[in-house]
Amino acid sequence: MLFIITIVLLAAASACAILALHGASARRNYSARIFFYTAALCFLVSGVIRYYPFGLRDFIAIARSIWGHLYLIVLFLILALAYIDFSRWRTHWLSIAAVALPFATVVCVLSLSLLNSPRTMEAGIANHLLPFHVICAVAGELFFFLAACGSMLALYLEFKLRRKAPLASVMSFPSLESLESFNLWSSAMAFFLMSAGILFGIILLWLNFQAVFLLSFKEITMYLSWLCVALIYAVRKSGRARRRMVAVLNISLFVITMALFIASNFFREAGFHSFR
Amino acid sequence: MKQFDEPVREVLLVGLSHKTAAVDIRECYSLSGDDAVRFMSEARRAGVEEIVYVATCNRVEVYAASRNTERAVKTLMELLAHVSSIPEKQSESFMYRKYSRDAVTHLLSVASSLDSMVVGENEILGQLKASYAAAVRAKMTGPVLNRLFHQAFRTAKRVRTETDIVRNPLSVAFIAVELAQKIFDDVSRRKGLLIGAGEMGELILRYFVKQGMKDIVIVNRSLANAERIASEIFPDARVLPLSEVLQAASEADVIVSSVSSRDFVLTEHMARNIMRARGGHPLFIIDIAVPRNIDPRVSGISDVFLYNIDDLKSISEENRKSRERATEIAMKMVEEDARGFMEWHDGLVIVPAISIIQKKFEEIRKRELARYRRKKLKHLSREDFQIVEELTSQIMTKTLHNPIANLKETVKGMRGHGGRTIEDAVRMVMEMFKDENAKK
Repeated sequence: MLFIITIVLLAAASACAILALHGASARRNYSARIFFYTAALCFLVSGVIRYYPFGLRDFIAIARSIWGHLYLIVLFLILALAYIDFSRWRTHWLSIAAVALPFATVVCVLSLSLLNSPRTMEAGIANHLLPFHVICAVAGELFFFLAACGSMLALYLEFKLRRKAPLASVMSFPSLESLESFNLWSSAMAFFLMSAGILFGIILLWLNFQAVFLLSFKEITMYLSWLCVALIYAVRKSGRARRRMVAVLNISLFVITMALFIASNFFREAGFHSFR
Repeated sequence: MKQFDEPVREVLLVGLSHKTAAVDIRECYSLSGDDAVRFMSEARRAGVEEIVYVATCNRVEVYAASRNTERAVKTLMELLAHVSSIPEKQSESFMYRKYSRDAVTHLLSVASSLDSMVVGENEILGQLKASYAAAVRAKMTGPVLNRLFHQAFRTAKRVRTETDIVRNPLSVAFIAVELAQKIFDDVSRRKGLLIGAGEMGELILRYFVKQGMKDIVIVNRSLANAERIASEIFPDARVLPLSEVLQAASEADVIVSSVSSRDFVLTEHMARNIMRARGGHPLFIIDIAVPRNIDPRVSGISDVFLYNIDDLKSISEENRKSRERATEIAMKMVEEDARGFMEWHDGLVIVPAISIIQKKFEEIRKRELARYRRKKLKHLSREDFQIVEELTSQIMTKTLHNPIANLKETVKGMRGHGGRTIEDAVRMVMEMFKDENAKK
C-alpha cells in the first residue's frame, strides 16, 4: 500500500516538475519538491518495512530479488536527486527532476508486478567485494542516465531559444553553458564509477576464476557501456565537438546501451543479471 | 488597565502616488531621514498613536493607527500641508485617504508591487522595510502597525514566490539580458560588442553593464559618437571604427547591433567563419536595427542565437499577458491576507472584555476558596488544599473556555454589520459580570 502511495506521489511530483519547468511556475516547483520528498520518505519507509532489519550482509539478498534490484535503482535515483537539491547543482534540480522522476515512476510501476515474485537473479560468485562492484556499476550507469537527461534538456532549451519561445517557458531552465558543465560532471562521475565497478569486477573474476575476462554477456555489455561513457566524457572534455552533436550522441548511446543491456538479460541462462 | 469599551486603534492611510500626482507635487511632500522622524514625532504629539511615514520616488504615504480616525486624519493633513507648503484644500484633488480594510489592502498591494508604476518591480519592498525600520527605531509603531507591516512583508514574499509577477520582464532590453542568461553561465565574464549608436542598443548595453559585463567594445562609423556612449555607459569600453567590426565580432560573446546600414553588417559566410574560430562556444546576437544588420540565415548556424526586434517585442507581449494573469492571482492573495489581518484586528475589540471576565472569575474563585479555607476546609493539609486550588482553577478555565470562544466567534460574525453592534454586544456580555456593589 505504502509503495502504491509512493508511486502516486512520484507521479504527482513528475507532473508538477514538468509543468513547473514548462510554465516557469514557482508554485508548481514548490509542489514538485513537496511531493518528491514525501515520496522519498514513503519509498524509504516501504524499503525498511520490507527488508528490516537491514544490514550490509542483506544487500546481496535484496539485490538478488528482481523487485529489490529495481528498488535499489530507484533508491539511488532518489538519493541522487536529493543530493542535487543540496549541492551546487541546486538550480538544475527542477530540470533534472522533470526527466528523472517520470523514469523513476515508470520503473516503480513496472516493479509492481514483480513485488512478490519468487524469481531471483543468482550471482555467479559470492564475495564481500560484490556489493562494491554492484554499487559502483549501478551508480555509474545512473550518472550516465543523468548525463543523458542533461543532454535532453540542453537540446530542448536550444530548440526553445531557436523557436523564440516565450520567456516563461525557458525561465526555469539553467543556462545552456551550465547544463553543459552538469553534463560534463555527470559524464565524469559515470566514467570514474564505471571504471571502479569494472575494476572490482576484474578482481572478483581473478579471485574466483583466476581470469580477467570470461566473454560473458554481462561483461560485454558492461565494457560496451564503459566505452560509450569514456567516449562521451573524452569528447565533452576536449570541448571540440559541437554541443548539439555531443548531446545527441549521449542520448543515442545511452538508449542503445540500455536496450542492449535489457535485451541481453533475456538471453542469459544464469548469473546475476539473468531474467531466466 | 484598559477599559472594555475603549475603542480599538483603526488603521488609516493618507497619501499620494504616481497615480494621483505628478512628480513636482510628490517631491513637495517627500521627507527623508531626520525630517521624516520629526514629522512622525509631531503627529504622535498631536495624538496619533502609531505612525509610519513612507516616501519613495512614486509615492508619499503615511500609515497610522488611531482610536480617533477623524482627528488623526485632520492632524496628518495639517502636518503634510505644513511640510509641502501646499494648502490643504488644494491637496484634496490628489491626496487620498483610506480607512480600515481599504488601507490594509492598499499597503499589502504596495508591498507586493501591485500598485507600482512597473508592476512586479523589486525596489518597493526594500523601501517599505527601510521606512518601517526607521519608524520602529524612533518608537513610532505599536501593536497594530507592527502586525500590519509584518503582514505586508509576508504577503509580498508570498506574491513573489507563488506567482510569476516578477518573472516576466516587459522591457526589450531586460528580455535581451534574460535571454543571455539562458545561454551563458555568467554574463559578467562575457565579452560584449555594440555595433552602432542607436538608442535601444545603448539601453541594452546599459543592462549588460548592470549585470557586471566588463569587457565591452563599441564599434561605430563616427568614433566621436562611440566615445560619447562609452563615457556615458562604461568608460573602460574599447572604441573601434566600423571597418573593424569583423575582428571585434569574432571575439565577442554577445553582439548588439543597431547601426543604420542598407547591407548586412554580418553575413552568413562571415558568421560561419567566426563560429569556426570559436570552437563551439555559443554566440548571442541581438539585431535591433531596421533594416536588419545581420543576415537572418545566420540563425541557422549551430550555436548562434539570433534575435531581431520583432522577436524581442513578441516575447515582451507574451510576458505582458502572463503578468496580467499573475496580477489577478496576486490581487486575490492580497485580499485573502487583508481579510486575515482584519479578523485579527476585529478580535482586538474583545481582548479587554475577555481579560475583565477572567479577572472577575478569578476573584470569585479566590474569595470563595479563602472563605472555605477558614471554615469547612481548615482541616486540610497544605498539600491537600493546593490540590483543591488546582482543581478549582481547572474548573474555572474549562468553564470559561467555551463562552470566550463563542464570544470571539460572535464578534467575528458581527463585523460588517456596523461597528456599533459589536460594542453593544460586548457591553451586553460585560453587564453580566459587572460588580454587584457597583450596580447599587
